[in-house]
Amino acid sequence: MKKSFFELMDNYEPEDAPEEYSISAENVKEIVMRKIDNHEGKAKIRIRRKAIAVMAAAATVTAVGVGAAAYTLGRSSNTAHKFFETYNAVSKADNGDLYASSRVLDVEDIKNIDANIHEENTVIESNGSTIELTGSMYDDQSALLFFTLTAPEGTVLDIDTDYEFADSMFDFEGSGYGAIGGETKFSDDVPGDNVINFTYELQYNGDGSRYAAKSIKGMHFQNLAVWDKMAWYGDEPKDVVVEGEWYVPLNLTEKVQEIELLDAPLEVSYQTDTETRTAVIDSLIISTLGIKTTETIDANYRYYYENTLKVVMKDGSEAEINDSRFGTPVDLTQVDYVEVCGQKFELGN
Amino acid sequence: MIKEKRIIKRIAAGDEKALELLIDIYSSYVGSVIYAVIGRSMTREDIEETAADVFAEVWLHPEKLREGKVKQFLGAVARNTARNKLRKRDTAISIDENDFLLFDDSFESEVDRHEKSEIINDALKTLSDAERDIFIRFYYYNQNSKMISESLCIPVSTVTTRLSRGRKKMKDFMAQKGWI
Repeated sequence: MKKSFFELMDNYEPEDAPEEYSISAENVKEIVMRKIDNHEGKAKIRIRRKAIAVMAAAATVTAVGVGAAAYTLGRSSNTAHKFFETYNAVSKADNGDLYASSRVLDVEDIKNIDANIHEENTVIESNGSTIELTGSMYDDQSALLFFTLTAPEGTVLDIDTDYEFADSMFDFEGSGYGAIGGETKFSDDVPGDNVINFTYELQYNGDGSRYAAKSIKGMHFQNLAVWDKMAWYGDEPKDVVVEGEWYVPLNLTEKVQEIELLDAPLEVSYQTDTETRTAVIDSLIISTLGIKTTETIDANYRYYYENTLKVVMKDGSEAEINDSRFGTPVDLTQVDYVEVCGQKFELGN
Repeated sequence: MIKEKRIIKRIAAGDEKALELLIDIYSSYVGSVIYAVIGRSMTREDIEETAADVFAEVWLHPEKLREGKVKQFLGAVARNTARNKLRKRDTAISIDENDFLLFDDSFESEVDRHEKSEIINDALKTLSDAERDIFIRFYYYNQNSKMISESLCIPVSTVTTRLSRGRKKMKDFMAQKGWI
């Protein structure tokens, strides 16, 4: 195989640049923040950002959901759940009678969030505090784990404080500790007590690849601290709120229920610069954790294809979708319909 | 020592302060890589704008950051971003037959990126310091012979000669290892 030295050197990893060139970090920061603001749109309310995966470059494409064009954010009480505060988009668009066709599916046994949470009962103690794994939800795209931390009596854990574990990593079979693409969210049932709940969402392994639930052995936590008081330099954060080291073994065995909404592949049209082409949506699968499609499309034209995917709730709001994941788990009993490329699918709720 | 893992986690969680810290630590390095590729064809402001593109990429794709490999990742993104800017300005890189090797198919199919990086490092060690510097400037940072000559204050003919020697030594190493 013929390769140029240029191509060969694409694999080179230099230690340093050939010569130093000084630029202003402050100028760079200002420009970066401007670029980020432009990219995240004009909406004033901050959306908790998730890692975004790269689309696979192949004839079969797994699409990324695209949200509504113009919306404001507000809380949706119908989908609120004790573990989450749900922020769903209320569409301002007047859809009217847009749909060329719509189907009502008789979907049996649609489950709400509670029914999808697999109960766990693993309690680990360290230094007078406990971390309990109380539940898990997972599928092939992500895992959501529910924990409760109970500190010694007299310790006040307050949800208004920005907490962070000094160390929290997943333990994978074979490759050891990893998982950078995860996120911890704290919530609190009773303010002012010594108990706090938190969830951890995992989407990526430590090497950047998608996680595999069966490969997770456990999760390691160390020292709960206040984020603002954590030292950037040095090994230990200052002002640890709860001191301890916990290893919580994990054995994820029951996936959330997934529902296939298509009973046959669906042809959709899309426009390139010069012609109208056809893609085929082979599957449209929804669960309480997310929604995804798989499509067959000519790889040469995949950049023209945009999968417009919406999950509309009974109260008129839309579920936030990032990289086929819902921003927070969705109660499927409260979904009014799913819309993909102008085709509407009701869940029979 | 900076807790790289903590910075990565906070960036993934959407903490802009963590991104700002990353910029404080690595903006000079990123700027240096961009300058190595773009050189004097762009102003300092252009280079800062390009550096900002690099850190914006980190913000949008934090899953690509890995503990212990942050600098390498930033360097690779900086180089690619700078090269794209050059392409937009129609600054083409000319390639001739001397620039090619005929690899065994197994090099592509059986050797992963990390192993390739190690093989390249081993091959580069067979070059003299001067040959290695010029080879990396030419084939990694895509500097042309004139740019290298001006940076190192040596004649273009010297650049050409050392580049030729570097290519030969790289080929000899690859042949010795059975890759070509």
